[in-house]
Formats: sequence, structure tokens, C-alpha cells
Amino acid sequence: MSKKLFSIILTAALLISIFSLAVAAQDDDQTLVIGFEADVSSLDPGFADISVNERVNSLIYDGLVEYGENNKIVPGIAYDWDISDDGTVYTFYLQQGIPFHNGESLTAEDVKFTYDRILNPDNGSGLRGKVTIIDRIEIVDDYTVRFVLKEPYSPFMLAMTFGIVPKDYVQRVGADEFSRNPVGAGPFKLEEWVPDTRIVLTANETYWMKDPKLSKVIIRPIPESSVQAMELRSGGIDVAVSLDVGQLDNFKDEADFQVKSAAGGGVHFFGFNDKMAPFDNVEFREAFLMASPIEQIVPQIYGPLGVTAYSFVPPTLWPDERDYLKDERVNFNPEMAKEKLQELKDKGIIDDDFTIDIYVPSSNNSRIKVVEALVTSLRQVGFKAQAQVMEFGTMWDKLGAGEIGVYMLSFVSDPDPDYWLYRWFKSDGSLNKSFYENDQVDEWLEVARTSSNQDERAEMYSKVLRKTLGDDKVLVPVAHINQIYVMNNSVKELAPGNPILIPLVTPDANVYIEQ
Amino acid sequence: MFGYIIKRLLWIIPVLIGVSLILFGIMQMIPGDPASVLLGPKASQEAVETLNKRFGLEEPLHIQYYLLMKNFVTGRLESIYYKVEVIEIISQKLRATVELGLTALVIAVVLAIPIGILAAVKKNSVFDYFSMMLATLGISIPVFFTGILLIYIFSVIFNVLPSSGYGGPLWTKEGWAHLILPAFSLSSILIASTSRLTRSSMLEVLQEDFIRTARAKGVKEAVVVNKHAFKNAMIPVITNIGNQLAMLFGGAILTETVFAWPGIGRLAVKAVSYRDQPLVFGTILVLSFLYVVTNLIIDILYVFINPQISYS
Repeated sequence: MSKKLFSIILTAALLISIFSLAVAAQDDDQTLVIGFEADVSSLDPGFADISVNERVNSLIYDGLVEYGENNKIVPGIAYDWDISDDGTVYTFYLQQGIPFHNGESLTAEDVKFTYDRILNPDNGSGLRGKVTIIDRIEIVDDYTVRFVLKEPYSPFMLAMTFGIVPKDYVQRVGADEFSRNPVGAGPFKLEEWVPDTRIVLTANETYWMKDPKLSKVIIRPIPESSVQAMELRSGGIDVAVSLDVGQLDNFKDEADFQVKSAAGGGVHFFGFNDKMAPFDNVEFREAFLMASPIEQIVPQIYGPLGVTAYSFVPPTLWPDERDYLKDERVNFNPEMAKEKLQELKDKGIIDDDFTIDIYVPSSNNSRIKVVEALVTSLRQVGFKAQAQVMEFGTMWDKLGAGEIGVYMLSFVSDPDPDYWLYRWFKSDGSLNKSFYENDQVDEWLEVARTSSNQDERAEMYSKVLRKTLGDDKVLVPVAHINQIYVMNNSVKELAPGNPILIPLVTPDANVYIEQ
Repeated sequence: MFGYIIKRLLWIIPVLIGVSLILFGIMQMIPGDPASVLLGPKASQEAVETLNKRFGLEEPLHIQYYLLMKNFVTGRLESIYYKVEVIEIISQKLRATVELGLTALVIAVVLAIPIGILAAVKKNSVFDYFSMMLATLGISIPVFFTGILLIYIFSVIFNVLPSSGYGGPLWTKEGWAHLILPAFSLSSILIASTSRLTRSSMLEVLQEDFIRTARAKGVKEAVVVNKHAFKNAMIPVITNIGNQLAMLFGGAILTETVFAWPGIGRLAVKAVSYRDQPLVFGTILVLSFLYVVTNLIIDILYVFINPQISYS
């Protein structure tokens, strides 16, 4: 009897709790809740080399300079700067009296400490590669700091956007503690971080640029895109920054939501191994491309999230070689692909049993769908092909070992072509997983990196793109990814732009919630 | 009995050592190293070396294993990805996992056993058909879908419960509100399997001679069902619940993913994909420990249900 009573009480309790609990109303007027695809791993800007970390850190820290409209470099903590004629000495003049979140004042000491910390190989910062060009950092006075480079390096200013950290605080608490309880000089300060649950930021009332209109920002990691969409509908979040295609289509025509998109979210592409037969053979690559209806499948798979790519650099970045490369692209032509395949067999480049294994990481659905579509088309013209969907770490290992003939990956980086091209196409580039080697390309990349003449740089990068993508077809761009924010109508002044930050308080915007 | 429990508890040690050895072996065999996964494609060689050095990944294998075990036992295992002690991460996630698992279990037991008994007693009735149809659905529909359906109904349409996330400890209003949907979703399979098992087990017991005897002696039907049949029918049911409970702790990955629940299942998956060896090691050993202990508790429960079983 008592068991029965117990079960009745419990059931009743369950039912009552379901219907009596109303979701806490968002009484806090200026609180913005953002849904993310994953949690951050560290809030130390020296280790912000994972996209989620970068974006959250952009709210906590400010750099010497900032990204303005169209990703142009605009003043940040430094109100001005000089570059010596030979392009090796950069002098920055800091604003006086900018406080960190803990009240300490930001000086040239902190700037030097920030970069020395990244440069120190013992710290293992993933950003180090972007600043190894620095020979030394000099403190001229409290508010003037000078960077001396080993040689001219045009994209250097982009590295000046890294968040400045407070020297005294970091030294006092240590790096590990700092990565969990960060102190910066950015528009928001950390109130609470519950791993895998939420990050709560509150407005920095002493922010130098302007008073943030939002009083609180809550970032919630919600891995499932469909759940993010439902959170958006039920009011659990105000903005979703990483919905997938299926969800986006539903929001497109809804009056209660705004969908804003921007180019520049990265590129999805194929790469061929330049040291493995038959993938090293341009004729083989052409046959592969003739069998690949890339232009047809991109709109179907990516929808509003992507446009067909012809160049490796995004449309928001220079040089714009899309038209040239589009003309050079081998178009889909199954009939010719069949002939070409026979030709390859006749020449002995491939034999009858040859199977194309296309490797793709398991982490992104769109990429997998592209590979699957391609496998089908390749089979239709008579190739033997299969998709090898693999966990990223495993695939990366095989790529490095040169065991993969053709792969599909994606890439996103800072807005300078050097960041996009040098590492993928330079013979000793750290991302050159195609093992591509070309002396001319190496030279163009070096010249463009050290030249301060914008026209010359653009010309060099055009040559690189034309040679590697147009002639050699070592990489085949598939889609440029758009960033899309979906938000409810009360969110004002928020729009995606640079993929490595969330533009809540910028020179051009100060996001708020309209009541 | 007491001696038996001590013996079983001592057995946990070789079991965990065995698990740790297998685990270490598997981790060595997976391609990809923590440095290249964690630091990403953009990492320099120096960064990779620094990380390997810091976490002793350059040492010979037996030293690596020894270090892992030593740090695990002393509680000093440090996660490569999070750069904090594994014990700290696990204790955070374990609370969420245990809250979710136990709540799901309570829901399942409270709902499934009465449904199963009633279905057996009223065999071939409308209630029997309807509840068993629901149970079949419960087993067939993936937790993933049940979860999304629940979110859609209770947060999008009625807007009475939050859709996802962890709201805090169970006893707070926010915490409880956030727990209801994932717990119901996770319990759906357990409700289904337990109610079916209870029904078939009850039906079997109700056919037994001693039940017929009890009825012949004029014992009230309610007493026959609740006292004589119920206890005997519970043995397979408890075994099933025991097995499922261990699954609720470790295998709630889908539910955790759908509801963005910061549990230990998702942590384990994340740890493997980051090749975070210390974290994998700690998480799986803790889960194995939970599994072994749960099974022990179930074995002890048998004694109370069935006096014929004793561990002397």
C-alpha cells in the first residue's frame, strides 16, 4: 500500500512540476543569449587558435588595433602607429588610462608581455607562427611600444589584433588559472563559466571605446543544430550563429526572425596529393573534375550557407581571381569524362581495378554530402570510387604521412591572402598536405609576404592562384561558406562579418535589445 | 554477506587494472596524437614538442602507463585539452550524469512497473494492448527523436519547460525544470523495456502452481498479485534495470547531446576525439567503477527480493 502511495505521490509531483514551472521570463532587459556549436576550451587569448575560443575572446579582450568595416584595420588600444620606410619597425602609440577589468591600467609593459608570451616556444601558443617574424619588442615609454621585425612582413598588422593581457595578473595567478578566469580590456568581463553549460559575461562599464548597451551576454553551447533552432523559437536563446542548412530554410520566411548573412566563413575544397600517382597527374585531375558536377551540387547541399567557389581566397578578400579561375575550371561533362577515363587506362595511368578513395573528416555534414555526391557521379562515368569518412585526428595523421590521394577539407583564416596561401602552397608550408612543390610559386609567395606595395602583392597572389588552381589544379575549391546569424527581431545592430569575432561592440555597432 | 561484499569490492581492483590496460592499448592504437588534434593544423613543431613534453607523451609506453596510473590513483591526472585536473572535470560532469540517470531511473520504475503489472493482470484488455503498443514504440524510437519531440511539444508549443542545457542542482527550481525533459527522454527506453519485461515475467509467475494454490486457498487477488507474484516476478526486472542503469550513466551520450547536458558520456566522446589520453583514462575508469558498483548493488538487492539467494 505504501509503495502505491509513494508512486502516486511521485507521479503527481512529476506532473505538477511539469505544468507549474514556467520558463523564467527574460526580465533582465539587456541580456543577449547566444547559441554556439561548442564550448570554449580556454579563455586565454594566447591560445585562441580554435574558432570558438577566438570568437568568445573577442568579447573579453581588445587588441592594439581592431577589425573595422570590411575587415579594415582601425585603431584599438593604439590610437595611432608608424611604420618605418623599410617596413621593419612598427611603433604603436597607446591611449592612456585604459583599465583592465580588474582596474589595473594597460601600459606598454602589458603589450610587450602579451607578445613575448606568445613568442616563447615553451608556452606552445598556436598563434606563435603569426608573430615569429618579430625580432624584438621595445618599450619606448609607458604608452609607446615598438616592434622590430627580422624582415618586412606585410600581413603583420593582423597579428596586432591579438588580445592584450594584464602582465601583473597573469604572472600572479599563472597561465592555467588565467585561462579560466580571464581579465582583459574588452567590452565584456567574465562573470561565470560553467563548462559545457554557459559563459556569462557582463558589460565592462569602464570600456574605453563606448558603453556597451548590453548589460549581459550569455553564451550557451548547444551542439545539436535542431535543438538550437528550437531554443530560438522557445526564447531560450536570442541568436543562433551556427544553424545548418535544414534549419536555416525554415527561418528564412518567418516574420518573427531575422536572418543575416555575410561571406567569408571559409572555403571547402578538394586537394590532390602531388606526390602520389595517379593523383599527381593533371590529366587524371581533369578527368576527375569532368565527372564532378560541383556547380550543380553546391546549391543543393549548401543552400544559403555557401556559394560555388572558384578561388581559394574568399570573395571578401583580394585578389579577386574568380572570373579567371571560373573560365579555367574544367566543367562537368560526363561524356568527355568517360572518354578521358578510357584514355587514362589506355595510357596505363590507371588500371581497371583502380579505386579513388576520397577522404573527408566526419565533423561536417556538408563536406560529407559533397563527397558522397561526387562518389556517385564518379561511379556513373565508370570510375571506381568510395568515400572514406574519418575522424579528423585520424585523417590528419594519414594526410601528414602522405597516405591520402584526394581529400576534402575546409579552411578559414585572417583577412590577408598570405594567411590563406603561404601555408598551403609553399613547398615547406605547414599546411601543404598535397606536397606541392614549385620554385616559382615559392618565390611569388615570398615576394608578396615581404613587399609593402599593395599592387605588387596582389599581382603575386594572382599569379599563385592562377598557377596552382588554374594550371596545376592541385586544390579544387568547392564552396565559399557564408556565416549566417539567425536572431529574433528584438536584437538590433547585430550582423556577421569577420568569422573570428562576434561583433557586439565595435566601432560601427553597439548591439542592444529593443523592448 | 559482509564477507561477500568485501570480496566483491576487492575484485574491483583487478577489474579496473584490466580495463586500464585495455584502454591504454586501444589509445595507443588509434591514429592521431593529442598535439596535432588539439593544436590544430596551424600548430608549429615547437608547440607540438612542448605539449608532448609537458604531458610525458615522449616517454616509453610502460612509463606512460605508469604515469597515468600513478596520477589517476593520486588524483593528479591532468587533462591535456582543458589543462585542469581530470578529477575536477569529472566531478563536475558526474553530478549532472548521476542526476539525469537516477531521475530517469525513478521515472522509469515508477511508471513502468505498475504499467507492466496492470497489463499482465488485465491481459488482452484494451489497456494491455495500448500500453504494450506504447512500449514497442518506446523501444523502437531512438532517444534522439523522442528528445526532439519532447522539446518541440513542451518548449516550443507550450513553452513551459526550457529546451536544453543544465540549470543547476536538482533541488533548485531551474535545475529541476531543465532536468525534466532529458530525464523523460532518457527513461523512455527503460520504461518500455521494463514494462514489457514486468508484464511477461508477471504472466509467467501468475501461471505457477503456488499462485494457483494461493488462489485456491482463497487469498484475495490483490494480495496474490502484490505479494506472491510481484516479488518473484521482480528478479529478471531488477537484473534488467541494473544493466540499464549502468548504461544510463555511461551511454546517455545521445540524450546529453540533444539536450546539451554537460554529462560524462559526452565528455568521454570529446576526450577520445581530442586524444586527451589522461581524460579518456580518468573518465572510462570512473565509468567502469560505477558499472561494477552498480552491479554489486543489484546483486545485493537480489537477497532482499529472493530469500532463496544468499551469498554466504
